[in-house]
Parts: sequence; C-alpha cells; structure tokens
Amino acid sequence: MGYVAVSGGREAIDASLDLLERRRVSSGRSIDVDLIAQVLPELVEQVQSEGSLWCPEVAATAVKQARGSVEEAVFLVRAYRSTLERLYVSRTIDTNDMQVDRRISAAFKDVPGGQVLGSTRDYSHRLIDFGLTEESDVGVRARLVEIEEELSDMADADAGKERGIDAHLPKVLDYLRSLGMVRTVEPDDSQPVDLTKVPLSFPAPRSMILQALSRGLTQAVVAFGYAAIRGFGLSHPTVGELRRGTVPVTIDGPGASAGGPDDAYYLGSLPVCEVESLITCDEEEGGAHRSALDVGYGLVMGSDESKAIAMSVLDHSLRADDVRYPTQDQEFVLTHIDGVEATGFISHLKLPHYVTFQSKLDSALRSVRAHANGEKGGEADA
Amino acid sequence: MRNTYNFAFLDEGSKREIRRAILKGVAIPGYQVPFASREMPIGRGWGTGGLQVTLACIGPADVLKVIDQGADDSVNAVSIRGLVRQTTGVATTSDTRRATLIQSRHRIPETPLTSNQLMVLQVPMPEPLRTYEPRETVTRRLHAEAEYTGAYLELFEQIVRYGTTTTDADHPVMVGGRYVMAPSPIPRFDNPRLEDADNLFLFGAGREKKIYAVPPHTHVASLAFDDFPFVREDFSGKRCHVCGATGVYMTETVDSATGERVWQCSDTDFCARHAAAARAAAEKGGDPR
Amino acid sequence: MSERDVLFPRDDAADARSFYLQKNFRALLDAMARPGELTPLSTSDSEASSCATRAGLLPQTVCVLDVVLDAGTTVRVAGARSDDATCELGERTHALARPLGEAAFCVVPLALAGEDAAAAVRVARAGTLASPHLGATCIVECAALLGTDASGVRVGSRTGSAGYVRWSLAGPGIDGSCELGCDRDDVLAARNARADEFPLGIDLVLVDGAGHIACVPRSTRLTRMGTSGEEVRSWAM
Repeated sequence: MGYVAVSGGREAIDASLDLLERRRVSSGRSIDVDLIAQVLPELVEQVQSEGSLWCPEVAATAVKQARGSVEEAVFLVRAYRSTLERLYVSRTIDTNDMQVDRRISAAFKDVPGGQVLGSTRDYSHRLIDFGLTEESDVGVRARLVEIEEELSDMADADAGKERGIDAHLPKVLDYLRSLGMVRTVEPDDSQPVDLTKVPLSFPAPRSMILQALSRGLTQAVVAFGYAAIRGFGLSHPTVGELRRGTVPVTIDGPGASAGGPDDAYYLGSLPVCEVESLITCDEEEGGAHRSALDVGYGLVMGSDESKAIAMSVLDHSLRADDVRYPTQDQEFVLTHIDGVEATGFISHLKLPHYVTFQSKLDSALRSVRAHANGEKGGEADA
Repeated sequence: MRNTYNFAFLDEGSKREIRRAILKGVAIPGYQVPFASREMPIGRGWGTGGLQVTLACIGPADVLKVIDQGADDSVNAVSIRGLVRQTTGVATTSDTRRATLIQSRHRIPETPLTSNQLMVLQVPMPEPLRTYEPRETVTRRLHAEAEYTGAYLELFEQIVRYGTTTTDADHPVMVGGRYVMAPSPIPRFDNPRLEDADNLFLFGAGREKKIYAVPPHTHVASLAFDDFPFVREDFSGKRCHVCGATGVYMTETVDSATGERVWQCSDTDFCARHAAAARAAAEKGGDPR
Repeated sequence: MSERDVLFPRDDAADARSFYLQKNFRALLDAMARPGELTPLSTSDSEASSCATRAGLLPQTVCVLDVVLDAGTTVRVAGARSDDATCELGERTHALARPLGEAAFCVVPLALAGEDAAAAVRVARAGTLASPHLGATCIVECAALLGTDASGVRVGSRTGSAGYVRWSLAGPGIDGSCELGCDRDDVLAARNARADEFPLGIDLVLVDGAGHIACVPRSTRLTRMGTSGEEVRSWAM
C-alpha cells in the first residue's frame, strides 16, 4: 500500500474515546443507577419526557453514562428507542381516572373536590440548604421518620379531611362546560398521527402538535410559552386545572377489535402532569357574538409543571387561524424544539467543512477578480 | 434488557419504511420523498440520513467505503464506518474501485463509478429553495408547480452584484428537466458527475427527513444562464504536492514539515493510488504518467 | 484489531430473515433504477408459498410484497378473490386493506386479465403534485417476461406458449433505450392510456414465476413495438 496523504483519524477517535472514558472514571467514584433514579428523579423524568420513552432504569443508566448531561442522556434514550419494535398502541387514557396527588386551579378560589396543594416547591423559599453537604443515608432515614410523624399529627388535627391520593376528582373544565362557558368543539376520534412514523408537515394535525410539544426540549417549550404570554403572542391564559398523578396504561388483547375496558390488559401506571388552560375567545352563535373559553392542553410524562403549562399555552397559540406572532407559527416552533435535532445540527458545525469552504473561497476570489476587471454586469469569467 | 442487535441496527419495520421511500425517490428523480427518520447513535446533522439509507440498503455481500471531504480517514468517516461495521460485520475498504456501497459527505470520488456501485450522499439541507424561502409549506408548492423563478433570481442577483455567480458547494441542479434539486454540499466541481452516470445516487437528509435519488443515465444540469454558464472551481496552475495530480479537486493546506502553503487532493484514495503509480513508473525508469 | 472493532452480537434466525429481505430489496432497487432490466428474486421463504397459494398469487409476488408491506402501508389485490387475497396478505404482513383507488400497493394477479386488469390499472392512485410519492406501486404478475440482465445477458421466462409484446423503454435509468418482452399488454397499454403527467403516475413492478422482476416507473417512456409473431431477434433462455 502506498503513501497515505492524511492518516490518524482512527487513532484520534480511539484516543478521544479513551480520554472521555478517563474523565468518567477519574473521580474513582461510581454511582448506582438505582440511586440516580431514587435521589435525582426529576432529572431522570426530564430525560424520559424529552427522550419520549418511559423506562426509569434506561433513563437513569443514560444519565450515568452521560455524566449528568441532559442533552446527551436524551440522545442515548432516543437512539435506544429507535431499536425497539412498536407492537401495540394503548387504549385511550382518560385522565379522569388519574390517581391524583396534586390538583390546583387558578381560575377559581375553590373547586369541586378541592384545591389539593400536594407536594410542591411553589411556596418554598429558594435558599440553598448547606446542611445537605453533611446529609447521610442514616440522616435521611431519620428525617423520614420525623416527617411522617409531623404529617400524621397534621392529619389528626384535621380529622375528617382527606389527604393523600384521590381518584376520580371531577374536572374543573366539566364544571365550566356544564355552564356552557367552554367553546363547543366537535369530538374528534380520528387516529392520532405519530410524528416518529410520519414526518412533521404543516399545518400539523393536533395530535402531532401535542406530541411534538410533549417531547420537546423542556427549556425551549418554556421559553416559547413565556414569549407567547409576555407579548409575542395573543394568549392570556388562566390555568383552569393542573393535576399531577399516575394514570393506568392498558392495551387490547391480541386479535381483539373493539374490546371493552374490562377485557383490556393492564400494563402499568405512568406518572403524568396535565394542564388545561383557559383563553378567552370569540364564539359566534346564530349570528350573535359572545365571549367563550378556548382550551389549551398540556400533558407531560413525569412532573414538570412548567413544561406542561407552557405546552398548554403553545397548543392554543399554534392553532391560531391568523398567524401574527412567531409563537403562532407551527413550522417555527415545532421544528426547532426537538432536542436531538437542534443540538445535532448546531454541533454539526464542528465537522470538517474544508471542501465546501474551499469552494466559498473560490467564489469569493472570482467575485474580487470580476470586480477588479470592471466586469460588473459583463461577461462571465472563463 | 435486550442482548442482541438487529443486522444493520434498524429493525425491519424501520428499514421497510426507508426502503419504500427510496423506491419512490428512484421513480421520481430529484423529488424529495418525506420519511420518518429515526434517531441514530450519531448526531443529527452528522449523517443520520445517509446512514439510514446505507443501513437500509447494505447486505452481507457489500463492501463499504465511507468518506468525508473525500477522505476515508476523516474522523467522522471513521466513526460512521465503524458503526456500520459493528452492526453488520461487512467488509470495508478505502479503495473506491473495490467498494459496492459508498457513503460520502461533501464529495463524489474522482474515480468514475460503475453500474454495480451505489453512492449514498449525506445531505444537511435537502431543500434547494430554502435560501430564499424559509417555509416548507411554500417550497412544497413551488416544487409542485415547478415554479423555480426564485432559484434563477438568486443567481441573477449574484451576477448583477458581483459580475459572476457566487454559489459555492451545493449548487442547485435541474433533474430530468422537472425537479430542481440540492446535490448536497459537493463542490461545483463534482456536479457534472451526476449527469448520465453509470451508477445510482441516493441522498439522505436525516434531520430534515427527506430521501431523494438520481438514477443512472439521467439528465442533470446545474442551473445557469446561456450567457453566464455554470462555473466550476478553478485549480489551473495547481498540482497536488503529494501525488502531483492536476485537474482534480484540491484544497489548500499547510505542509506540516516545511510550513509552506500547498495544494492537496481531497480524494485521499485517488491521491494514494496516483502517488503509488507515479512512484512505480519512476522506479521502472519510465515516464511518470 | 482494536477492542472497538468488536461486532455487536446478533441472532442467526433474525439475520436470515434480514438477509432475505435485503437481497430482494436490492433486486427491486436495481430494477427500479434501471427500468426494463431484469433482476433476480431470492425465493427461499417456504411460508411465502403457502400464503401465495391461499391468496391466489405467485410465491414470487409474495416475496416482493414481503419487502414493502407492513403495518405502515396499505394494499389491495385486484380481481375476483380480492377480499380473501387482500386479507391473506394483511395477516402475513399487517398491511392495511384499502380499495384499489386508495391503496399504496396494488397487486394484479395472473388470473386477472384483459379489460378487468386494465380497469384495475386505470383506477390506481396517481398521487398529487405536492405529494407525487403517493402514486401507487402496482405489482403485476406475468406469464412472459423477457429482457436483459445487469451483465447484458438475455434472460427471462415464458410459461407454456404465452404470447408477448415487445416494448421499448427510454428515460431516467436507461442508457438510450432498452427492450422488454411482456405478456401483459392489457396492463402496459392501460398504464400508457392513463396519460398521467409526470410527476404524477403509478410505478409498475413486473414479476414472473421464475423469479425475475422488471420495473416500469412513471418516469419511463414506454412504446409498444411488436408482438412475438413479429420477432426480429430470438430470445435465448
């Protein structure tokens, strides 16, 4: 074999992979995948939400491998997802059946079933607790015993008041619908379109809008939602209901066509956070106009409330008939919130581009020559 | 968790969807067929489209060549070739003549391809009209109506402003007299290789989710005007400092030994073989070819 | 060989299926890229035969359909046994059944001939200007299919004394022009009679009982030459 002009690519890659692995193990400490899932569940949830795959063990392993990089962990989960066969589609999940551990409404002071604050940071004070630097497993277990006692004392004090998980909490929106306040919408049971099987096209069907938002980059969805309510949009929403809890996932038996819910197979439960936002709109009825309420819907796997609320804002915003703001532009929002695509294309700028750059230099030189020869608008360069 | 991998990574359902898109692309030369691009173990924008096309086509009897900027040893080419090999076990080569399937970023090899070779090009932006029309909804309509005035207008504006066209790589082409197509960021130098070729060209854009094709023996013309014909990159007076070749695509670089600026073949396989042939001829005492 | 050259572990049975589908896909791809050229099908799947018998199709047709059909697409077998045959394919491939004018893949069996076959071809969907790829692919069974293979050798088959017509093909994928002999005058004439304006149209996949396929994509200009009675050259088998 003769002379090779440029060599060493293979060796460079091998070395860089070794350096990467060295970084990962240089601390001399390893962390259990289970520990990551138990102690950093919200990080693991974000990876599953953006990875569009619910499997805490896989996501926690990805977080470990990615050394905590959400971008990288989501990439790993999505690539893994690509190798899995898609055998079933679940039965429709009715969030009325949610086992709710937290449910609030900003629209009313109180709602049927009550405002259940649940566990939330909303009213905590964001002060770093430096005591955590000394916390140990023993300390954690002792603290748990302490807290259980406190909560149990509180419950005794409010004897008769229910606490904990509740199923079948009535929906705030059902109450509003009963008053005729919510804009009438024709029920649409058409098959959802899956954007992992059919490429995004515009105008996108509602199922695709919701899917793209739900699996989108958390910070991007929140940023665009923020822009929409801050002025780059028409939405001035009120959170009609936010509910967080677990929903059962069931599938029909093989060969069953339209089997009933009792014949279905229960696969497990999924933690989700659902938001129904209300936006005032104009409704025309028999020639007369009145004010009504439109609904923006948000649902994420896991418990990221900001993402679910932003999603509900954008769901409404992206269905606007008259596009005046970028937050109403489906192509602008939905194309650019996919994490793997965004970071992939941004980072591809690091790849060699010297062949194309040479071509750019050639063109630039030609234009300089053409200008120097005073050939502006004249004959072509040979 | 699973212990075994599918041949060529993708499950058969994914391969089938890609294969259906490829067949339609071949039946409608130059038309971008939408497909549900999967996430791959390499980054979006790093060749996932080309990779999916390769993985859908490759079989145990294939011999694979992967290049980037014309070089087999470029890090991204090494990475992609490694992934395909790990998931298929197929033989790989850097010799263009021995390959049956070539995946490439930004170049078509200098050695003309034959009818039993399949060329897969990686495409970042499949839409040739994107530079003047950002919306996919609009460009789809423009292609449907063969409304390509905008593409010509861009070239016209360059001529008016600079006295010449100033496209660099990815100069748009008209395929089969019907579709304007982005040939991928190959230099203008390589555009003529698409015209009336002996081999099939497949194009994969993973992030943008499009697949398209140019069959062999298809008329492919770079967009130009009668009075301002298509211009390729000019290397007159330059020769490769490694193998002495002229009339091939070269890039300017620095000789690490002398520090001087030199020109070098971008196609490293061509360069190595040309250099070897020149040395063999010199050793025999004959005239170097 | 560095540690990183280790191949990912695979499963032999899954591999066998993968290889069978890949080989036939390449035959289909080569045929579509070089219209009129005959490429060889690999028909080693024995289950394809029993499915074919139940559906009233050639085993070779089922082998072609195995490459392209699954739950992500739609199919219709034209002819008298349409519902049974389509259902049979649906069970094997999970492809969804649709009427002729809507299906992405149509099958014209040997048993369907003449005006009935022409009618099926007329109705197949052409796609739209914005989405021409939606134009149907029609798999057509042939009793006679004669042409040239990749190495320039004349190949093909002819069942019994099936007559055939010589067609001339030109367009993308063809160096100048090429000739194809086929008994499906009914289908090919009907395809031309559709007069679809490119890029709209249907793409034909011609299959014979001996494992050859030839394609006529919508980009091909197809011209009738003569019948087998007007032979100028003989076709060596």
